[in-house]
Parts: sequence; structure tokens; C-alpha cells
Amino acid sequence: MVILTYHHATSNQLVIADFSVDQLTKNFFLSTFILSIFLYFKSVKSPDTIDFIDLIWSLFVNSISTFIGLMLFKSFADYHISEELLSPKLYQDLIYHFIIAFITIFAAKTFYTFKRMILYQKTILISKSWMVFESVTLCLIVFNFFPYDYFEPFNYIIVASTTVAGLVLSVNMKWVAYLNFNQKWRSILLLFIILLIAGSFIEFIYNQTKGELIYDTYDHHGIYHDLGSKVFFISLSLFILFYCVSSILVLLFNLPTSSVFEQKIGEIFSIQKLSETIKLTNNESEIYQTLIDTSYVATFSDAIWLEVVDEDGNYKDFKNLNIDKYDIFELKKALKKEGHYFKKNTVQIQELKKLKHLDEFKHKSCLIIPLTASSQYLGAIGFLKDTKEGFNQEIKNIAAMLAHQASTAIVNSRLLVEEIKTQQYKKEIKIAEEVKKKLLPSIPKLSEAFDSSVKTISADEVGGDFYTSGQLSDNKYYYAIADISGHGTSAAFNMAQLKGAFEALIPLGLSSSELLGKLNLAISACFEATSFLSMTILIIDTLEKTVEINRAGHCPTLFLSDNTETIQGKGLGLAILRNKEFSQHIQPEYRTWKEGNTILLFTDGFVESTNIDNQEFGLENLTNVFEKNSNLSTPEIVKALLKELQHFCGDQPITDDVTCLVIKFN
Amino acid sequence: MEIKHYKEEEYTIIQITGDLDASSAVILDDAIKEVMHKNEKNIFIDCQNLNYIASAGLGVFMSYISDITANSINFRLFNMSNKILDVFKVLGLNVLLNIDSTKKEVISSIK
Repeated sequence: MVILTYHHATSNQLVIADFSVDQLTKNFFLSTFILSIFLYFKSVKSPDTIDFIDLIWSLFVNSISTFIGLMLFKSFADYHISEELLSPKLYQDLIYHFIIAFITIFAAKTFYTFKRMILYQKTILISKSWMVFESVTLCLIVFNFFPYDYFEPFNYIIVASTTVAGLVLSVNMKWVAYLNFNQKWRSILLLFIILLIAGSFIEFIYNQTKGELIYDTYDHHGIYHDLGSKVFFISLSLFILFYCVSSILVLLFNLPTSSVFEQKIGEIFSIQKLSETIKLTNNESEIYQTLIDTSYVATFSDAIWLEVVDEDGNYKDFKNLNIDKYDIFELKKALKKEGHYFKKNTVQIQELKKLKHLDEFKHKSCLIIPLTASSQYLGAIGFLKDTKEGFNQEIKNIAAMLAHQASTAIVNSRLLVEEIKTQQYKKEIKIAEEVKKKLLPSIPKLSEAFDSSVKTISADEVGGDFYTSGQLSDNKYYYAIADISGHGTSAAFNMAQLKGAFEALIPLGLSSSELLGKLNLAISACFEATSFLSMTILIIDTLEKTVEINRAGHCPTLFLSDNTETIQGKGLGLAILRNKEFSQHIQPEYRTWKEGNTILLFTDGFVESTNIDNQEFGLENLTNVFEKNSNLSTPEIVKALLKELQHFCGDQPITDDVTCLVIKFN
Repeated sequence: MEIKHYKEEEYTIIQITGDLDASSAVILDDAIKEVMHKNEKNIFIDCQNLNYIASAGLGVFMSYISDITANSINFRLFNMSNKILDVFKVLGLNVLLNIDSTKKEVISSIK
């Protein structure tokens, strides 16, 4: 046994430090136990989101259980068991070890719970300070092997510095702010009990150290009995006490202001909820409901209503809470009579009693804010309170913000609906394009006597140019080209009607003039007053080698034989003169053809297309290009014509539908 | 496009300036409708500054042909450029509408 004695510097008392192997082993095991308990609690993984009430509650449960454990074992200490079964020393030792274990568990749990609280919304500085504090505290376990005053006065410095560090860290109480009034009360209560338990544990340890043992039959040295004099334990208990007390105080002082904080948090949540609803739904009614609920809570109103008008200013939606429609109507009537208009500016009435035209009203003050977007009135939101002067500047600001949010939401949802409609419209246009392709298929080869090619370009997705071809009898073939007034969808619909009428009349075997006469009547019945069309019908006789050209207000036909003839006899467009007199205004022309002769039919879009200098392509230009390329095959002529047009127009977009149809005789 | 209409003695003149396309045709239509509604018997369209006419513009004139005939209105267009006149001619509207070359000619038509 090695017993070191040294002279206490101040008290002249002889202190014994026991460094016997036996004692060192005991100290080692106890220190290892304490350290492992601490490391265990350190390693316990916790969820990222912290519910502080849960955290304090779990600490409370831990404290209560360890406290009950301690009390239970303490009461066992007085229980005398038969010496034959267990020696009293061993029995008491066993009891004492359990008690130490309970206290260690309590201390470790409390230490790491407080750590989480301190490090909530940490800064790098706090985080690092804590790391140092924690490491130093745990290192102090080494001091367990020495008596308290062994390192005097160094031990005082250690205790003082850890205490200061603990105090400084105890200032970090950001978590308190996130508790509502009720939670704060509960926390105070729980922490108070935890504080009492901690106090009783500390008292127990110190009593032990002072020699007021639960049992005094055995004379012990080492840390079993003087744990209370170890720097580790002192620092730890001081920190726990500090944090407990300061938490309770901070919670207490924060109680009166918690309602303000709760209100702010409530507003944030309400607005967040509103924003989410706005994002998630295009259902306006749902937005209004959320808006009215949110506004009701956020402004502490006693009643609220929301009215929304559509683009034309008609009532679209109305929501009310705690007030009936009739009362709102009465209030609005009274406001109007006294010159309070809320369509442009916010109206605030501090005392509704003062309104002369309003009798017996349930509420005492009101605030009405218009909902506007780019100066368009969308509706209004009205807040009512049962107290006079119920709306202070802050509530007005919140209300204005909510109104602004609501306006944005309404506009957004309307834009979304419009966008959906636009998308649907685009889809419809796609379908129309497909239909157009079916209405205007490429023309088939009709006879060995001639070839033909056609190409049409629409200014919009769909257009009003039309062409068709077919066989009339054994040696007679027809071609037709037409241009419906206007372009785009309306022209395309008219074109479809024309095609229907044309296909119905063709099998009747009429002459070109009769055909045009009947078409005129049919089309006149279908077209609106300002719509008309121009058309040219060609009838080719392969036996007689003639071609009949009947022009109804359409562009001239170019007939290229030895030279180019521009055929433009008299001819009135269809659906202009909407009666039988029409037939007097058309006159077919006849030509004979021979091999190599070429005919060009086109619509006015071709000659009226302009370049950047606003010059039209023109008939002369078209004739020249046509002549120049007449030796080519029909598809090549069409291609050459369009290429020339494109070259002429450059970047200038075409504004009218362009069609050209070439027939070449073999 | 700009449209002015004014009454001079016993006739009304509608003056068209600029391009008569799909969007401006509506304005012309309103102007003619207004004058017709006043039971004017002599309506003259001054086309001196008419630069371009689209099918929608032609459609407006065309849609009044039956009213002109039915109410025996002296409806006349004048001062038309050759380019515009060609458009009327191709469609055959020159046969159905009275197109004069000068204001003098137009005024002499008043009975």
C-alpha cells in the first residue's frame, strides 16, 4: 500500500491521497463507467427537428426515474440482511454503486439534453465553445484520481474557468422563443422539478463527501465517498444548476411576450399556407376560402368577408365568416351613402356607431381593403371587430399584405386558367391543321394528257385558299382554285363549307357557269355578310384539246403557249351578289391547247406578297418567272415559283395565304 | 387607318386614309352603318388616300350592296388609285358599285 501524505498548504491539515493499486483500480473502473455513460448519451442520435417540449419531457422522465431509483436504493441501505448471505460491507457497497450509477445517468442525460438546447440555431463560435467546454469537462474525470486540493490552487482555476464557460454557454436560450405560452408554462414546471431532483442528487453526493454517509460502518477512501470534492463533479453540477435556473428565469421573463411571438409565427404560417394553396390550386374558390380563414386568424378579426368580381365587374364569389350577407349589404350601403368608396382605396371606420345610415350594428369597427391588380378592381376584403378602433397600424399592414397576396393569387389563377385555354386552343389549331391537310390533299395524276402540281402556304396555321381537281366524264377533267376572304380560322371554316358545296355539285354534270351559279347560292346561304370568295374553274377536254376557263372574281389565269396570255374576262366573286343575278356577271373563256402549253392558277397572296420595301411581288414578275421556268416539269415549276417568291420577300413574313397550281399539257 | 366623315350640302363624304385591312374594316363598317342609319341618300367614299385594301375591306363594301339597291342610295366611290381599282375590277365589284374618277363626277350624279 502506498499512501502519499502531503501537507495542506492552508489548513495545515494532513491529507491522505490513496494511490494503492486497490484504490487505483476502483477509481479506474468508476471513471470508465462515468465516461462510458457520458459517451453513450453523446452518441445517441436525435432527430434533426427538435420539439423542445418532447426534449424536456424526456429529460423529466429520466430525472424522475433516476430519482425514484435513488430513493428506492437509499431505503434499501437501512435494510439489514443476514450476514451469512452477504457481508454488510458488500451489500452497502452494492447499494452505493447503484446510486452512483443513477446519478451518473441523470447527469449525462441532462448534460447532453442541455447541449442540444444550447446548440439550437448555433453559430460557429457557440459550436466551438461548446466543443471545448465538453472536452474539458470530460477530461476532468482524470482528476478523480486525486483529492480536490491535490493541485491547489490549480483546481480553483479549473472550477472557476469551467463555471464561467458554463455560465457563458447558458446564455444560449434561443429555443425559448419557439415555445408558445402553454409550452413555456409546462417547461418551467418540468425544469423546476428537474432542478429539485438535481439539487437532491448534488446534496446526496456532498453529504457523502462531508461524511454524512448513508452508512458509516466502513471507512473508505477515494472517490466513492468524496465524489463531491472532484472538479469534474463540481463543474458538472454547477453547469446543470446554472442552465436549469437560467432556463426557468428566461422562460418566466418571456411569458408575457409569448403572445406576440405566437402571433408572428401564426402570421408566417398563415401566409405560408396561403402561398401553398396558391401554388397548388387553380381553383379560385379554394383560394378565397384559404384567404378568408388565414386573414381571420392573422388579423384577430371578429368577422370577415371577401367579395370577388370577374373581369367584367360582375360578382363572382362571396365568402363571409361570423357575419351574414344582409349585414354586409347594410354596411356597404351605409358606407356608400356617406361617401366611403373602397374600390380604389382602403376604407377604415374606427367607430361604426358614428355612421348615420347604419343602425344597430353588431360590430364596432371595420377595415375594407380593395383587391387590385394593375389598377383593375378584383374585389375587396372586409375585416370587422367588436371593439372600436380595432385596427392598429400593424394589423392594417398585415391585412394589406394579405390583400396583396390574395390579388396576386387571383390574377395567377386566372392566368393559369387562360393558359390552359390557350393550350387547348393550340391543340385545336393542330387538329384544324390536320383537317386542312385532309381538305387539301395533293392532286392526283388525272390523265396522260397533262400533268399538274400544286402547293399552298398559309399565313396562319390554317388558311382560306382552296383547290381541287377531278374527272367529270371520259375525256373531261376539272380544276378549281379559290381564295376565301380573310385568312386564319374563319377563312378555313368557310373553305370547308366551300369544299362541301363544291363536292356535292360536281356529280351533277353542270357547265362551269351553272356550277358557279349554284355554288354562289349555296355559299351565300352559309357565309356571313362580309365574307366572299373568288374562284376559277378550268375544264379540260382531252379529246377536243380545249380548256374552258371560268373566272369568278379570281386572279387572272396565265396561259403559256407561244407567249403568255393573261386571261381575265368579266367575272364576279361568289357570295357578293347573293341571288340569281350573279350568273349575268360571269363568262367562260375557251382556249385550245397543244403539247407543252402550260397554265398557271394562283391566289392573290402570291402577287400581293411584299418585301421589306413594301413592294409587291406583282403579276409581271410572276409572269416572267413562270415563262423562265416553263420548260421544267410541273413540280419543278411550282418549286421555282415559290423559291423566287421567298427570295423576293426575304425575312418579311407572308401575311396572306399563297397557292399556285400548274398544269402542263403533254 | 383613319376615317373621317362629314356632310357637305346634301351629301356625306367618308374619307379613308391608309390601309383598309381586317382590323380597320370594322371602323369603316361602323362609319358606313352610322351614315346609312341617318337615312343619307348620297354617300360618297373618298379613296384618294386609300393605300391598300384587303379582302375584309372589300367585304364591307360588298355587304352594303343589297342595302344600297333596296334603299336606292346614291353610293359612290371616287378618287381611287389604279392599284385599288384593279382589286375592285378583279373581283367584279366595279360592276356592282359605282366607281367614279373625280369628286366632280360624283357630285354631278346627284339628282
